[in-house]
Amino acid sequence: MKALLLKDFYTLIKQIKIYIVMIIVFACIPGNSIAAIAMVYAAMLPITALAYDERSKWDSLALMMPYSDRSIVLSKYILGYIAVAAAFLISIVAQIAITLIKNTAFEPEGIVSLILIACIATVVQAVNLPSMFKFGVEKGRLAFFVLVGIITGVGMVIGDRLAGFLSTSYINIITAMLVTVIFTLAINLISIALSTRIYKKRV
Amino acid sequence: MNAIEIKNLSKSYPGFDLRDINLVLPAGSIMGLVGENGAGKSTTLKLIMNAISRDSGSVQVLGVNNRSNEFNVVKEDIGVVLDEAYFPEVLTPKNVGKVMKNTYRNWDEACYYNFLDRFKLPETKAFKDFSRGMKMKLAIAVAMSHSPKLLILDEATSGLDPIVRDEILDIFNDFTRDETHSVLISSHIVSDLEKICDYIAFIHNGRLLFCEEKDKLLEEYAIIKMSKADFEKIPEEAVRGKKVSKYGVEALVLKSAVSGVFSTEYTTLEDIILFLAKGDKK
Repeated sequence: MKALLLKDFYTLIKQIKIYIVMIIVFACIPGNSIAAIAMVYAAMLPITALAYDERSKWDSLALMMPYSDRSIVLSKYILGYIAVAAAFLISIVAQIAITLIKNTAFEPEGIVSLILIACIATVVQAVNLPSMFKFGVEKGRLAFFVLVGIITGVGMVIGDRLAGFLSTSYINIITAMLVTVIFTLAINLISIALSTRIYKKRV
Repeated sequence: MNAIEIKNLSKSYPGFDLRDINLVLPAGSIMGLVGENGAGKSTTLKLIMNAISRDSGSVQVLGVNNRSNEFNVVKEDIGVVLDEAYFPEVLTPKNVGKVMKNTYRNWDEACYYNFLDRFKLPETKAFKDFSRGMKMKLAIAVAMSHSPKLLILDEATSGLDPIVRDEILDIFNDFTRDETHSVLISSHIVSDLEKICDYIAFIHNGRLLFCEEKDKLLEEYAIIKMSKADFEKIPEEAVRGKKVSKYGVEALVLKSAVSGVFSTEYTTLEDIILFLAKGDKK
């Protein structure tokens, strides 16, 4: 596993350098939308790593080496988690630094929002990766957009009803966050199991 | 112990069918896998490493079923070189060394850097800027640097100049001085196989035509060149392949069936392969 992560790190080193500068710049701009972009972008790094693997046909060699199917799949997820966690931490440090510089009160809601954004980023990754393992990066991207389209469509249909329900219910922020985290974990575990199954069923 | 034991191995793709492959590679020996493009050599090697799923049959590598969980541990003892090196193109040999150090428990860094030095591979140059020969040398350096007991080589010497090829064949030959070490090598360059192999397995159209000791094969077959009229006298069951031209007939025959009666010429492995692959060619 460490070897595979190291391989991806060396492969992505140029992107990672640009990316770190980008996150630091973005994270220093007040507001969560920029942090959201940084974290979702971080969750896309495994796709870039997979694209490099495909270009060099690394899988042909990896299958001959003592890597289990599970570790090959899991390494891509972990790469994404590390990247999202890094973006998350940099965003928090930047927010704290801004409050210290401006000498304003620190707002814990900011951290809650960042946690939710990190969850969304890993959910995006969880939705994305199985289609990448199944169809490859080029076709997988298309499958991902189709899937996002379906989810958005379904979301629009049930969204209003859900909003109506939430406006009449009392759900505190901690409960909402817990539900989101549990949902994120579940989606990720299902996604990992699905990707491993897809990878094992290679021709 | 046998390094590889394959029984009734079959795999079908649309338009291609590898059927009933049976072969045994005894420990301490080198086996050459020969066959034309698309004959099924690479598919066989991938099936041995369980990199693709098989339809039927069984494969034991270094005494372990290649579908068992234990096989991942056995892979530590197998060095593989494929027809291309397939390392990510931005990696340098130094990067590759660090990745492999975390891949193989028996990774021997000193041995790896010795090979880099011996092959004159720059440690910090990106893999994408390497020539094909350099890429293959890097793959060979990796395969040799984790104390493997078995080498599986798929066209590992293609694209290399004759001098380097010879040097690498010597490395493979030295490798099997240890009687627990074995090599399975596929190649189009039959002369390379003739130079180093103890056994030859010939795959043609997805079927294993033979898997024999090289010396026995060279002993078994002979070439005859004669007029069409004289050729009529050769027993049909002795002929394994022939080329008929307006000048006469050249044929691969079983030496035992014609010796003493007709004069024969020494055959090479390449002749045997060509005649058996082409059969009767007018």
